Amino acid sequence: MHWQASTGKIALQQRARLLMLVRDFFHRRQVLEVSTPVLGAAGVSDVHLENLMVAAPEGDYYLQTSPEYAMKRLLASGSGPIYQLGPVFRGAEVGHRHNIEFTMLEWYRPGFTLAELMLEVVNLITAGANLFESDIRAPVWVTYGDLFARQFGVNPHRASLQTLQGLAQTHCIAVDHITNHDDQATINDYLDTLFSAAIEPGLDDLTVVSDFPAGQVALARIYADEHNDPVAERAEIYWHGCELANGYAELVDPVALRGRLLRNNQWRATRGLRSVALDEKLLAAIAFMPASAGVAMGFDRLLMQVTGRSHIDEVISFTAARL
Amino acid sequence: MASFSTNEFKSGLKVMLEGDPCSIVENEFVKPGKGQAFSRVKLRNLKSGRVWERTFKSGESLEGADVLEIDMEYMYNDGEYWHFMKTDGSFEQMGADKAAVSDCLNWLKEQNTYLVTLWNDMPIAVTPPNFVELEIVETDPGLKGDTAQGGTKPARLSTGAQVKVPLFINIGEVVRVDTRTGEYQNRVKS
Repeated sequence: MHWQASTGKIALQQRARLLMLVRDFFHRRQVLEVSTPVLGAAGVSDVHLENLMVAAPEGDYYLQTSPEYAMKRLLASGSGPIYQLGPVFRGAEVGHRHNIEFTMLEWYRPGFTLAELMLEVVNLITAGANLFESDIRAPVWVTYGDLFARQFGVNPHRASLQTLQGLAQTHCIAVDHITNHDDQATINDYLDTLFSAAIEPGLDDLTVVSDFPAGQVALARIYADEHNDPVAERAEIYWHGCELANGYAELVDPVALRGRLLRNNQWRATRGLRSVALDEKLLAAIAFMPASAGVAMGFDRLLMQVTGRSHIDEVISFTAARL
Repeated sequence: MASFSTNEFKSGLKVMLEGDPCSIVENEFVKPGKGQAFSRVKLRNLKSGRVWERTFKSGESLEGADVLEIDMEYMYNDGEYWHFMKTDGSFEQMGADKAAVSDCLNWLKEQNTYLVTLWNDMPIAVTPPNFVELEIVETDPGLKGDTAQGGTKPARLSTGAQVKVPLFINIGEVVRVDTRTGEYQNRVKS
């Protein structure tokens, strides 16, 4: 019987040191640590997130997939800049970079642009790398559209479903898992598969990818890029071919936000997934949230990268397989 | 046969895909930022030997394949089937057809032991050991004393396989060959 942890003492110490570094990093910048509940009354409507539920005598609760909704309600209450380090839960995610429960580092910066926030993310990652004397170079800043065009010769913001299907075929990228529902979410599935197969593994240096396709906007704002294509004000950071953080210029328009959540439910219905009740408290709060940039980073993945480990069970003491 | 879900996929697992038995070579869980989770899987078709890449939705499942790999001794060819015998003391014999032995024909020698892949108790593939020792049946006369590096010449082995051998090798001598590359390794003292 494997009752032992999958991490050795060194990995436990490294985790503790990196946690201290993060807390010190934000303390110096006067960003307040907060702790919002792991339980929520409402779930997320993201098509591809599996919310775990808890049946309590008081009723059903959702284990949070990220502290996003609660933290936004704090921002709307006038909290100022805040960060949180804590457990989040996502069902049906298991792999060498995934576990059902992991530690999320999420923070919000009222008044920051997305670029300012991503620079702060880069500074934090660099500080983490320096702590463990891990090699790190100055980041590469690139747009999603440029990366995609360089790899496939196609503008992803204008590509039709047929074009993307053709790209998968000519580049021998398997897409058997995608069911064609002939909607924007299907286009997202193709873009994600092409990007993850042909582009992401090559992002070895620390890379900030901005201007995501508008269909993958989630809860970010939309703006027109230099080619006048609508793009999401969303950025992701990759290092050693691994996604580390996902940041937004946050959408604070309650009408647009309701539209986004309803669209998610529509995509869910098309795919036979249950509809998710909208979080009315979030929708009521969002009108009071100051313009902000926010980012979520997988803390365990950061620890993996700065300590040169390739499997998440080397940094989490008891992954799902050992519970 | 049981079926296996994507979270049970691991290398070496034998599953059915498009009617053919396959062995999983590699399984990678992929979950793009906000995107759909899936498994990118490499599978080796055990009949053709070809490697397929497929993606599966998380939670999708494949039927297990009743595949067994056992050591068997090659006995003889009756013109249609190549007959092998179990080495477990049962003396049980099985005939493999041309499709099953085709990749191994160059290296088949009586009384040698091979890894035979059985699917539903039928041989579908025969894998030779990494090295086999075979007799030279045809080559130009050897040049005495020419053991220096350099020159090679074509030679035919008892199985019909063609290999390049050093100039000093003669007909009737036994040589050791790497079956993965088809390259001569050394002369075997007989």
